[in-house]
Amino acid sequence: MINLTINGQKVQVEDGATILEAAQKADIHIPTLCYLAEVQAIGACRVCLVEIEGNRNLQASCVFPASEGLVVHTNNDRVRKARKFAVEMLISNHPMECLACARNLNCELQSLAEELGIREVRFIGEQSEGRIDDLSPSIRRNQNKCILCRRCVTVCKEIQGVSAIFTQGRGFETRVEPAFDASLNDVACAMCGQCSVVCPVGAITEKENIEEVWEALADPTKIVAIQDAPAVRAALGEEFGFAPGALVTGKMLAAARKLGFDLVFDTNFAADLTIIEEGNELLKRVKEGGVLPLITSCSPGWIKFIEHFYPEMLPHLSTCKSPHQMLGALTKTYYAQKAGIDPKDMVVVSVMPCTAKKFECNRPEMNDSGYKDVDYVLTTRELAKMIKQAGIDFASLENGSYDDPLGEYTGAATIFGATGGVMEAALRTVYEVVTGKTLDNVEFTAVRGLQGIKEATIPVEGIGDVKVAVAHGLGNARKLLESIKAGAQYHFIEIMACPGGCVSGGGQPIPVNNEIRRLRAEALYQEDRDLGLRKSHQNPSITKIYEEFLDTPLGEKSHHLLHTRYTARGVYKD
Amino acid sequence: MSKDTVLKKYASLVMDEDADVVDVLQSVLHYYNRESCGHCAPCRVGTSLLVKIIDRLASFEGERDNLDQLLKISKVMRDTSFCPVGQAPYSPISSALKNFQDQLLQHVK
Repeated sequence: MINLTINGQKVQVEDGATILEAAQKADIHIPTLCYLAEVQAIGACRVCLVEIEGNRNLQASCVFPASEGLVVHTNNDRVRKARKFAVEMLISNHPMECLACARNLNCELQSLAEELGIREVRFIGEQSEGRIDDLSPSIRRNQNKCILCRRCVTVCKEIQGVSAIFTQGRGFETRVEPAFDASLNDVACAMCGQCSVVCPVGAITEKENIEEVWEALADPTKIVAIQDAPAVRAALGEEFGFAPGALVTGKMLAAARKLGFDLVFDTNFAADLTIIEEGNELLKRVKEGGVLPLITSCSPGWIKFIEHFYPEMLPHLSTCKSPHQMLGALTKTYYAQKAGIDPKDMVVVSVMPCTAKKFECNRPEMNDSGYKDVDYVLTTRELAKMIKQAGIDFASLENGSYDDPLGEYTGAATIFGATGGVMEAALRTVYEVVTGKTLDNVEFTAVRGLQGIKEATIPVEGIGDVKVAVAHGLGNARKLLESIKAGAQYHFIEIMACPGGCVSGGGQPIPVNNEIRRLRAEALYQEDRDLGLRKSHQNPSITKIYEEFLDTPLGEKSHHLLHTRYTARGVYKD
Repeated sequence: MSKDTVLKKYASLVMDEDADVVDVLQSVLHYYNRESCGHCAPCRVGTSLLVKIIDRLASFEGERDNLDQLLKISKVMRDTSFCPVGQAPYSPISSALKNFQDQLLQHVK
């Protein structure tokens, strides 16, 4: 242990702790900007400077190691002035477009300027001549707003193992760009959007589709359907002042009606459907000696990643579309027929915790209904903006409900939003389908939680031990794929592109950290416990859709509407 | 130039008695601006601000305030920068102001 003094207060910390960590342990606040717990500490922004007695210069507390006997001052006149100067330097080259910025009122630079008491812009410096790259359907980058904190670069490289963006150039010409200043749309980017979650300002955001959705809602000739992914209900509340982990399913559905959506469906229905299709696909591959392990395909960021980096492993992927694409295709076929609506008059809007789903809904193969299966994807953040624009008092909404039949779901579907959830849901169904016995303990805790790669072996009568693994975050996905290439044996693998799974996807409320990930996942596990039906095959609407429309899992209609194919992309563009 | 004038650390510059301190500072500050790697904000932005000000003085467009700004900015840069590049401009600026203030003032509008 190390003993040091911060602001006159004695603090004891473990060896290897930084001064920032020591201060946090003692509840002493030091402002930070480029620092991101669990991801990055590089001392670049100089906002966390502190004075250390005996040191001539101020030191960045996020990287300076605590050592025995240090005397540290975090809040004296010299420190306050220096921090203010560091932020003034950033502001001198930052466009003052706060009023028209997607991150207005949720911007770390804005909050810091307020916290440090900046009341005039003393320095007007050179303005970077950055560019706006909005060619990607998922992510919009405005280099003019970039403050070069490098969080996006670190998360893309270290956490996701993708390295689509780097710092380029030097000095004042430094900028964050893909290689050779290409567009993000033209490089090996998974479109996971984790860069947009860690960006402290408005330099990286999702590509908004709010205006298109308002136009559809305003068009009297259109029947507009909305569907919400499981993870949305576990995080949307944060945009309206609820604590992380607040489950707002009922309010979300009520808000959707107030916004004017004609049909309120739930992606969870299609999550249950995915389990039936994917579960049968797994059993078929096990029985017939197909390619194993079977790997899940719900996460479009993960799909884009494997298409770029491991195209030789595409046969491992389940051919199931992601749940919202299944629901889009069914809305424009099954539901349209049932309700007597011409599908050309329908607009399907998916609210997703995800930026990659914006890319996915524009894939050319996602037109199996004869129309674009999902017209627009909104992130959770965009839905919150629409609710605010409509003047809806979200907190006081009475619980709403979804429309049948594409809204009914089980607990197995709702846990799709947390890492390990798809695996757990699949095991619940596969076990019962294979053994014909009732599974009493439905909770497979070995696949829950934030450990990077989770493994379990489940004995299933009839097919023997089923070996499974779960990875979240593309960096962990890469490790797992490499271990499979090296000979590791599994039957079934779940991979989610984002750390923590969809609950902390690229389209979710900002900020996020491991504690928030845990709380959002817990909200979904709670909803699972609260639902009477916790196994996908128990969903009565699922039974009905096979009777009325789909016929049989992996049947011809399923093949046509619910399954897809993939594209080997490679790392470099031709 | 007087003996205690610091231009750069570990560097010397040869010039004759007629050299103008603003020209010399201009060359030195452009050097640091060029050498800034861009990692930390005070140096990346600070060196570009210093260059902007010294260029104005060099073209006799400067104001009295500019001399004060050079000193203040470079002083906080010394306190806050990540490495010696951003910490360096304070020394030539402060010694120029101390030893050649009259020359600097001639560049003010």
